[in-house]
Amino acid sequence: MVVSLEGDAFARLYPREYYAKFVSQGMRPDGRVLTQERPISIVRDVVAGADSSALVKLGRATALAGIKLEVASPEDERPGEGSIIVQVELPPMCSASSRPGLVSPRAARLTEELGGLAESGALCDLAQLTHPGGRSVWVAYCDVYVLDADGSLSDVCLLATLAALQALRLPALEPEGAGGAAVPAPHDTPEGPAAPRALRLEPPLTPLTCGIFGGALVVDPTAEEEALMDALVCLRVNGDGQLAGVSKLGGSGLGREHLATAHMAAMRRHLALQGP
Amino acid sequence: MEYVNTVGLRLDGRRPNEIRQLRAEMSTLASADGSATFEMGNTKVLAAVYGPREASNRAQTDTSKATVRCEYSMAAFSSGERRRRGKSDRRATETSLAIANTLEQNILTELLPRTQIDIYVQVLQADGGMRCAAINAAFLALADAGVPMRDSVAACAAGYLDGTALLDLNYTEDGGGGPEVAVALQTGLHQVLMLQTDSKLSMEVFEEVVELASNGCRAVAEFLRTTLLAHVGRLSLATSIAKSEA
Repeated sequence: MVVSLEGDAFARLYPREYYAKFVSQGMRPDGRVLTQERPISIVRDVVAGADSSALVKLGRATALAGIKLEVASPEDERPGEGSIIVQVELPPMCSASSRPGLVSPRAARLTEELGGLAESGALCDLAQLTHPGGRSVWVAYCDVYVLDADGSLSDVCLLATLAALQALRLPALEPEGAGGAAVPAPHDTPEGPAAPRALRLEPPLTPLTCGIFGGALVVDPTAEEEALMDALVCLRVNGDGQLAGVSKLGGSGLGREHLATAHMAAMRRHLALQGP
Repeated sequence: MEYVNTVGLRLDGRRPNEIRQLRAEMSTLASADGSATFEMGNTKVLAAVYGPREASNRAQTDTSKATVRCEYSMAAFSSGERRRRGKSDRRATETSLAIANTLEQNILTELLPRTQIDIYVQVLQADGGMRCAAINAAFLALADAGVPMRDSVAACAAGYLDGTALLDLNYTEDGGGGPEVAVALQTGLHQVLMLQTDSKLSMEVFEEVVELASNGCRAVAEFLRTTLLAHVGRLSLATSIAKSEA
């Protein structure tokens, strides 16, 4: 009993030294080895009110994505395309340290990162979101709520967005009338109910966040671990296992061998998620 | 629109004094000190409690009791039309205050001086009765966090449409233009903690609706009690297993 109390006190007072002792043995306080990720669970269509939704857990880290569809007129500079607008929220319930009222810079960064991916068509070809007549398009508003901010948020948010897009079904639109605006078809058309169609998504990206701690690479860090890391690097691999994005915002240096190890770990996750 | 048909059934097939199906789950978020999801029909809310912990703002620290704060917000995809972002949503702020004030009355704040208890409520699906569902969820989350409380709290709303008092209005009935009264009770002490309506209604109707809502609160309280007992049962089983393994 006395020993465990001292261990707890040591962990609270000297978190870095405590963590370093684990890393020197190739282990982490939660029992994982350094290159081991946390278990992933993905549940689709969890919110009845949304057009599609997904709840993704990465260990304890949790994100809920919900998509609402709206009909709009296309933008002038992109006439043949609809749009996917991603908004990431970090409500104050997501961690003990967040304070209500302020939009956190972290939420803005995640929004920018995911929004950029969706706008560039890296998730799915935006031309599918148009109506045949071309006068109106779908706008898919994807709101991602981080319910438990336990590290590797960029991964859990991207996985939730992808899962929600996979579950999305676009309702069939009636041919455009004289007014030019398409309207959702009523369910009892003479030809029977119009079939909603799924989006053809690009081969899904797989994200992986890694940390650098005293020269060692730590895969999929929790929030506690992230606070101790010298640097964080997020990478994404595409369907062929090629790198499709790396972001390392400052921090300590990153060796080539680290990048290779991280790439391997991302490939492993990709294979585990998408199957062989 | 006919809200109560000739057989006396409502739009969703309920009888006038019938509550929607209730579901609840406790300890749904690992990071929070206490958390719970609570569903009333299609309305689904998630509540998380942090605290009692050291007050973040030293100037506002109360040396005699705990400070209870609440933030209530609705997910953008929770309702029919997508909600535009806006932190300065006055309605949400008002609901936050109502939830905090209602539950503060029930917490033994004098036992926890200089601390603060944060209650965060997120509406995931909105189908009427969000305020009451939020209070019920927050009560479960407070219990999950082990915050000392006086009594159990339960909330339920009732309205009046087509000359009939209706319990636990859904979104369509809420938009029917009739009066709605939200009630929160301390069910053991028989005290009314919250009573709220914005509509004009006669004294007889008011009493009838409040009585119906109070009955609804008692039904909800019974359900909350069952949920709490089941949760405590699971906890004590887990503790006894942990002890036997140690």
